[in-house]
Amino acid sequence: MRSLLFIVLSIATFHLQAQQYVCKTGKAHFFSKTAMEDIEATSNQTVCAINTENQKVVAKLTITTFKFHDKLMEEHFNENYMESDKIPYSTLDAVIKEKIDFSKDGVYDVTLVGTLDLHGVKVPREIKGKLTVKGGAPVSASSDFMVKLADHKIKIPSVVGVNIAEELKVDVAFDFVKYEKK
Amino acid sequence: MDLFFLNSKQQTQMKKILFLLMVLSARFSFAQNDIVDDILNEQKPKREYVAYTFKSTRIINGHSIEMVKKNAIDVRISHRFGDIAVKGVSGHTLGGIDNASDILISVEYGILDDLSIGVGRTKGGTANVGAKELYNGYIKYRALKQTTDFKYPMSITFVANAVISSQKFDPFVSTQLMKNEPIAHRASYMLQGLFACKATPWLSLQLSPTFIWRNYVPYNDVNGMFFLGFSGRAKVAKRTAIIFEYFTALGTMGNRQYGGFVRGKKGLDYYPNLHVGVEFETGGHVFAVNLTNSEGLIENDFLPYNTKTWSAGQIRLGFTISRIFQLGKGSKKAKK
Repeated sequence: MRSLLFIVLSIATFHLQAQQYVCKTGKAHFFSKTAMEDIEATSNQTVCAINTENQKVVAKLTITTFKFHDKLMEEHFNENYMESDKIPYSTLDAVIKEKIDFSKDGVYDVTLVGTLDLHGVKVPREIKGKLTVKGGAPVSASSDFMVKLADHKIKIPSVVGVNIAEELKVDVAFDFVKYEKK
Repeated sequence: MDLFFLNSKQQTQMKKILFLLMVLSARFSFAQNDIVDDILNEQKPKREYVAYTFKSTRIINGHSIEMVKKNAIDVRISHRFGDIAVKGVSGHTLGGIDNASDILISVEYGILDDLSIGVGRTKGGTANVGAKELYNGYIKYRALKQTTDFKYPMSITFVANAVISSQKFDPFVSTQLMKNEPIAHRASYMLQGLFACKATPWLSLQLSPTFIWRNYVPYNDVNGMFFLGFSGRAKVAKRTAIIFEYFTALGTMGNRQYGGFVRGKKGLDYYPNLHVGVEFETGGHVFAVNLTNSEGLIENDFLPYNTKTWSAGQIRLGFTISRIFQLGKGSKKAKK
């Protein structure tokens, strides 16, 4: 009885995970441009999972993996703006709107519909991107979109206001491999 | 194995297990988020270091465990005004605003994240009997970093400095430097261990045992002296903190006399250093306004020579500004 249940469960798990493609070292990069200063940072540890069956996409990153050229800026980014000790992650939880035919190779224009959880504030978003399919599986994806700091309750004090743009340009890139449970 | 072969007690246990398994199976509907979380957990570094125990390389006058980041320069200007509330004096100087007890200008460079060197120059505390015109060079090394899981409960930094005075001999002013003395008599040194713990996200505490060696001291004084410092920083708002510092001499300090005839000055007492302040941080700058009884700004001056006390209104307003410059701006990187 118990063993039967185990078998059923393990098949169920296997079945669910068979459609998962993941990227462990995705690139997320943001850029803030003002007349005073250009600020940018990159995280090379963005995790993304794409489910080819229900077309769900989850991308998540640890805020502290964003690396700045200026270490002090990195410290301020984490402490004052992102409060990464309290809110360590940012997540995009979305579904691809268009039906993708994974049996056909090619580059698809996709629209992700879902929520962007940044600085603990969830904002419904529609984000455009590109998805490359090859050999019946997603190979890579990329997107760029704007993030309004005010939408996510990230406050910029007036003294440094001129140095930080109100809207950041974010670009992400992922290369997918099939997910295998360790 | 089947439920049929089990006794009633085992059966209820088995039912519990089955129920648990069914509950667990519900989690597979969130499998995708779990996979992402699992990978993120794998990526997590084994040890995470506590960041910004203090906001600056100094707390008020004394060093903090914080370092200048690699390839960055910290330019620091400190100013201490005159006595704020001494009867018959402070009224004429607008609470000491007219006077400058001490001024410090220093430049510190981070060779590595945990190793930095610095040079500075101070005027030397006005009423202090110690030598004036102090040039100092120091080296600072962080040996241990506190981790967020408190496996390493504190950060440890060591500071060593050497100070030399360029003061001119003046028979009417100087009680310290005589004519034709060897240059070594103008030097003093400090060794300091800093032990700090960021206890909570808003409270950091530090102990600073300090040893000071002065090459030349007058009759009745000692060359080597031990001090213990206790400092703290309490964050009260996002960019504002209250800072605190207290230094006291350890032991009897040899033949040093309190209130007696010391160094040719009658009725000269030495007091512990008590400093309080408010620290404001804006991107790249740290600005602190403080009240101190010490006049001097460098340890070799304010620790052994502090003759001012809070109880006599001999407190002074002071401010410190620190500006960080990151070198080697990656212009190539910005262009992508």
